[in-house]
Amino acid sequence: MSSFEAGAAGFVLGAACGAAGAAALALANRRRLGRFLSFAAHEINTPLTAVNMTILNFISGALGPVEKTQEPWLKMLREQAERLALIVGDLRDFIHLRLRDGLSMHSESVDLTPVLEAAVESVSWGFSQAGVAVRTRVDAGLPKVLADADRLQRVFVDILYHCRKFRDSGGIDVAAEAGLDGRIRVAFAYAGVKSSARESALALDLYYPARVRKDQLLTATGLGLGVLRLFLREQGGDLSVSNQPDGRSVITADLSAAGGGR
Amino acid sequence: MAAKILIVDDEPAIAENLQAILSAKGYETSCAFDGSEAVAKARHEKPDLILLDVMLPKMDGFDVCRLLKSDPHGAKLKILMTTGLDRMGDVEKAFQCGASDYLIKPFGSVKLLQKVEKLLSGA
Repeated sequence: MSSFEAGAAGFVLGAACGAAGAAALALANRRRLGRFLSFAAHEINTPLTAVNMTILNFISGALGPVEKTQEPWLKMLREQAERLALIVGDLRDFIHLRLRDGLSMHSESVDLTPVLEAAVESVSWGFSQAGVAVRTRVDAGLPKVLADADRLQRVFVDILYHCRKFRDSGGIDVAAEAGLDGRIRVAFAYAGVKSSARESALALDLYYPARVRKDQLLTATGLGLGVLRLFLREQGGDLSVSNQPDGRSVITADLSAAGGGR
Repeated sequence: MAAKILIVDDEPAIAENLQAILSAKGYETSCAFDGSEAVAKARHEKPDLILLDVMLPKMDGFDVCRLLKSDPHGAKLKILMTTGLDRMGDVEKAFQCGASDYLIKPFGSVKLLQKVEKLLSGA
C-alpha cells in the first residue's frame, strides 16, 4: 500500500469513526433530552395530581359541605384538570416512544366494555353540559382485546374530545363490533367537517397539529390523531379516519382480539 | 383505639389531602416526606398501615417497603402503595416488594377509605 493509499484509507476510516461517533453522540443527546422531558412531564403531573385529588375530595364532600351552586364549577374544574392530566400522560408516552427506549406497555386480555364505559363516563358531565350525547353500543359476545387498559381508555377519551371539537351538530355514536377478520373495531361517528380522503389521511400524520397550511381543514385536539394511532399501533391496533355515505365522519380504533385474529 | 396510619408522599399538597380525609374518619395520622424519614417514623411509631408513594427522595418507595417488610414486625405491617397512572409498571414491582395493595393517583376519598378499611380489617 502506497503512502497515498494508506493515507486515504486512514481518512476513510477516520471519517467512518467520526460518523459513528457523531451518531452515538446524537443518540446520547436524544436520550438525555428524552429523560429531561420525561422528568418535566412528571413534574407537571405532580401538582396536577394534588389539584385533581383536592377537587375529587371537595366533590365527594370529604373536605366539608359544598354549596349546590358551586358544584358545577368544581365539576368543570375536575374535567379540565383530568383533561390536562390526559395530555401530560400522552406527552410522556410520546416522549418515551420517540426520544427514549420505548414505552413500557402492559398489554393483556382486556374486556372492552368497562374500558369504553369508563372513557365515556369520564367525559359525560362536560359533554352533557355542552349538549353532546354519547350513545354507545357494544356487540354482545365481543371477545376480549389485547391492550393496555389504561392507555386504551385514554385513547378513547382523546377520540371523544376530537369528535366533540369537530362536530357540527348532534351527538356521538360509538359502536364496538367484531369484524369478519376477527379484529375488534370501535367506531366513533359524528356529523362534522366532511374532509377528503387525502385530508383524512393527513390528519393521521404524527406531527399534524404542527402543520401550517391554509388548506388544512381540521386542526387537532390534544396531541392529534397521529399520536393516538402511534399508541394504538404499540398495542397491536390501528386508527383510521373516514366518511360515511351520509357524510358523517368516523374515527375507527382497530384492536387485536386477545385470542388472535387476522 | 384509632388505627395509626403513616402517610408518605414528597408532595405536601397530596400528603395534606390524605391526612384531611383520614383524620376526618378518626384515624391517627402522621406524615413523612422522603424514604429515610418514612423508615425512621415507621420504626418509631409502629403504624398499622403505611400509605407509601413510589417516587421519593433519598430512598424510593420500593426500597422502603422491602426494608420495613424485613423488620421483625414487618410481616404484620400493611403497606398501601400509591403511584401515578404514568407508572403502571410500578404495581407489579410493589407486590414483589411486599406491598399489600396499591392505589393509582389521583384517587378520591371513597376509593382510599375502601382500601384502608379493607386492609385494616384484615380482609
